[in-house]
Amino acid sequence: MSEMAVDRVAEAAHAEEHEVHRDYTGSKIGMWLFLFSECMLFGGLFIMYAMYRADYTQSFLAGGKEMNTAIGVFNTIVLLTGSWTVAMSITAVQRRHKKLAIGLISTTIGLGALFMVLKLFEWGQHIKHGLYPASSELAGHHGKQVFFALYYLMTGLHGLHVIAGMTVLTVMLILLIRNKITPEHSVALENAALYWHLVDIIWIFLLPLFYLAA
Amino acid sequence: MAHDPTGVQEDVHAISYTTYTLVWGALVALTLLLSAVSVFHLKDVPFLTPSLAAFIISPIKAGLVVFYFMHLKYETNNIYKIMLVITLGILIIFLGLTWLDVALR
Repeated sequence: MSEMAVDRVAEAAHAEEHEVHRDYTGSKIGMWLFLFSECMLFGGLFIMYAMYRADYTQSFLAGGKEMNTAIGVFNTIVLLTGSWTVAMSITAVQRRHKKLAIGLISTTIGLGALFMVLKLFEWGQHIKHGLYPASSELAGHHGKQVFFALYYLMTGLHGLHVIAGMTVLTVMLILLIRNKITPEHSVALENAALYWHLVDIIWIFLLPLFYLAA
Repeated sequence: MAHDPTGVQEDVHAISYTTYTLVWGALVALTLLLSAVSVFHLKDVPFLTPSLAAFIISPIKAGLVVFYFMHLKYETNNIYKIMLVITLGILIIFLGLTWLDVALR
């Protein structure tokens, strides 16, 4: 090996040893930018909902009556509680309460799972009652078809976000157990929590649009 | 220490468990209030028609999540708040222009 190459290898090893490049502000801004792009994605759907509701006001009110408000409200509280526990997990990490942080993140993942189970149960009930866009029950009711098309699209896309959030939080849980998330370097967990909160915010707006529409 | 070259997190404001719990309590209370207004049609309460309640209460709830759970209130760098205002501004322009198109057709 030439002297130069040896130097280069030594240099690289040295750099690896001393400089793990981290950019806290950059990570945070990147995450927020991504969340804002998510806002635009759901914002477009909210605008579509508003315009169709203006066209089919009565059908949307009738569609809202078919919703199970109790499950909708309960699921809202489930998500809000999940946001609360994941927010507190960051404080727990910073105060070096590792066991508490593990418990809090696990709780959030569990609440996400509960949310999805209830959501799937609800969808099952709707489909059983013929409440889906191409069903024979809704044939001729164009407005109601639009309402349910938007319902499945928006809650479905939201559900995918819940699953993604649960996956990300599971990774954070493993990183935390392996001491890769520490009080000094917890930005990954903070960003994961930010994502979870966004999922929560979207649901905050979905609740009145669909469940309380009547 | 806003631009610490070592990248070690600076100025992280650990919000107390109590603050988070109070915010969570407020969020649950607002959710129940919103549901009660919508389900029981509290017509005697002025300004609390269901849709108006949704327009007021839901943004307050979202605000609580953004400012407390998402730490926006405690961020020393204003870039996050500026980005939030720009995003909301763009959404309002989209909604306003689409609404004009539908309303004046």
